[in-house]
Amino acid sequence: MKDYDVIVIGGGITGAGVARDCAIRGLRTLLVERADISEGASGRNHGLLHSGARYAVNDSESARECIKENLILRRVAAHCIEQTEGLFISLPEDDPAYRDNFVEQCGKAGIRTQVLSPAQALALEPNINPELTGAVKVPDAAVDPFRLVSANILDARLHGADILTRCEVLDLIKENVTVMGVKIKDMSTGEIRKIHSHYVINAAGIWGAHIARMAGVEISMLPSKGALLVFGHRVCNMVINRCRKPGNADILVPGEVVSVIGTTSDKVPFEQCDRMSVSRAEVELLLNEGAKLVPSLRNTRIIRAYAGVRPLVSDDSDPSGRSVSRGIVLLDHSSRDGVRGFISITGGKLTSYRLMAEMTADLVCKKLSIDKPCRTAELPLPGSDNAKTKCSSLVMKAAEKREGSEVNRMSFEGKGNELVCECEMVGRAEIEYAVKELGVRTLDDLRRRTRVGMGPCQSSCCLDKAAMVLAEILIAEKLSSESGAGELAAALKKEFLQERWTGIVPVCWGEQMAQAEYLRNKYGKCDSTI
Amino acid sequence: MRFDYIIIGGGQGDALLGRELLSKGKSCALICQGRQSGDNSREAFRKAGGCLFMGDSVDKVFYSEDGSRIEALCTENLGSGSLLVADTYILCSGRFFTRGLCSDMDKVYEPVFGADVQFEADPSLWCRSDFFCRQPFEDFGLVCDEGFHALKNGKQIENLIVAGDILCNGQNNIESLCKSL
Repeated sequence: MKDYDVIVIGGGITGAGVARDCAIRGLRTLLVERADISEGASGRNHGLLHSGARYAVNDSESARECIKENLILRRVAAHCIEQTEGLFISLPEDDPAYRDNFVEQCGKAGIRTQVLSPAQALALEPNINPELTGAVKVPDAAVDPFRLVSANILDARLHGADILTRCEVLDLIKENVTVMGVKIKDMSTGEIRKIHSHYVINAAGIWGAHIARMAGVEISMLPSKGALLVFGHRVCNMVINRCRKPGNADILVPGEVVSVIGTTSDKVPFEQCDRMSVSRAEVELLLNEGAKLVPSLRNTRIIRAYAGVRPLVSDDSDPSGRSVSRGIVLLDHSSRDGVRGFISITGGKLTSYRLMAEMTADLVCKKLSIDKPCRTAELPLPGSDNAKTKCSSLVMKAAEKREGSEVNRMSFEGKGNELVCECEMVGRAEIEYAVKELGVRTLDDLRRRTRVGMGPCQSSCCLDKAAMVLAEILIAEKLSSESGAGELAAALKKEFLQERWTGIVPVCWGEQMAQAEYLRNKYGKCDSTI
Repeated sequence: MRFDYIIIGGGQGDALLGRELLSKGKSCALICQGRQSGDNSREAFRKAGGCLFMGDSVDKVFYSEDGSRIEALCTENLGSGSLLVADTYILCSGRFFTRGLCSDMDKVYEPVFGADVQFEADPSLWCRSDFFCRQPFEDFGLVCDEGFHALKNGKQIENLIVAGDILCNGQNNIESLCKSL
């Protein structure tokens, strides 16, 4: 008997979605992630739930996919989504004919639009460029990608899936032309082991090309870097897009207490994918283009720059590799390459992850002759099930806003109500929950689950406390080999500060330089003690 | 209003320096952008007879015709009707966090007098990738002559003394100024 029916490689949104769908259909499922969940492109994007309008003119298939999934996710992932709506604004230099065609194509794709005069648009969003010549309102929304991944992982687990983070796939187990499982290394303990399954699903994003090679198949991928900037507060309450052919820095998304502008699109070599950084030139470009959408961005503090890598796939029909498929790419390597037991799912978008998971799970079920329909379009994610909550304190209400009805599983008794991160209103109970239920082991994991340290202070105020609380919980839960909370907290802090610094360096001027100096004065010289 | 010394403060040691001057029988004003209450050092300066302009900042500077001396200052709160005059002005406004130094994308400047600042011309070299090592921007700061006079376009401002950690290369002359002034 195999250990599992399916092993999913990759803890991004695609892998998390596939693992959840498979687990719900009753497959014995394991997800393996070499780092932490949403550490790749899934955590390094705008946080935009596309309406599909952006693709309406050039890619009608993606547009139709997006609006369909957008409407589904508003129901089943409600607690991850802020229903901001979106505007596509036209500036004097933009072709007015584009807008007319845009509205027509949106209509054909089933995306509802409302054409607005400049005055109507400014009444909705007073901070947009007053020189606009018109705007179109569309059903874009903001989505917290970290929470979306985390909720999928949690639900996969609740349906019996096993989740292994910090486990790198060293190789695939093969017998002749069949993939039989994975050989993994536990990055925490160094232990190497083999796990067998009927199917291995490659959902590793840009790193999928590497995994495919282990199976002896080639997926021609083109890593495309997208850089983004985070601003210190919300400069708008709707998603603001530019109504023109998609280009650099033409989407501004309000997310929680900050705003994000992006993105760029540049080919990068594979060697860079593990250590993405943003250059000053990219920052300037993003700022200059972003200020055309909302001029006040020029005077708004930039708190961070980051970049993700899109896993673009060359079209199989084009041997030159130049023609890129932007849509969902599901590869059945049995029919494509003659390698059995191995499936790759890549391409696509955050917005279409559920559909990607459905297509993958459908294929696996067909292969295993299992007749179970997909239910993820109806079943709400944990937190979005409309269960009644009783939230009396501000900390509880903030936790409810992030985790929805999962707040009922947090313990706010005694110390639980204690506030840890003031910007994002994260309390000890939520941190405890994140450690016990969401696999948090480091401060960076905690940031991705709870938004600790992601607000305007960027952890300069809450870091000591967050590190100590996390250390205490890890030790109490016997999840750390360290016995002293002080030592563990210092180590957690050091690792976190270095990661955060990478995002600060490209935007270190103005107000942010004052903050950087403060951060260095407070934490930079005491890296061994708390 | 006329004083022997006006300290443009905000940085560490501004009130300490003020108290030292008061103890030597000098009259002294301290203009400080911060608004924090319960600051013991500044409160002690006020109690010792210093004139404390808390939550205020320099709005306008009047120079002698050749630009070599400061004649008077106006503050934001008092407005242009009230001139503050001193024999000597001391710039002890701290670094970036206290707004003694400011920066934009490609330059670092001192916002009150436009005094000469030493900084790396290439902004991509302002920080190092390792958070825990000393950062190049921590060495940016004011250049001055041997008597700690501020320079503007390379020329000395005769009655403007630079004090504290606003100086370049990690210097801090508060202690020596307390003795020498």
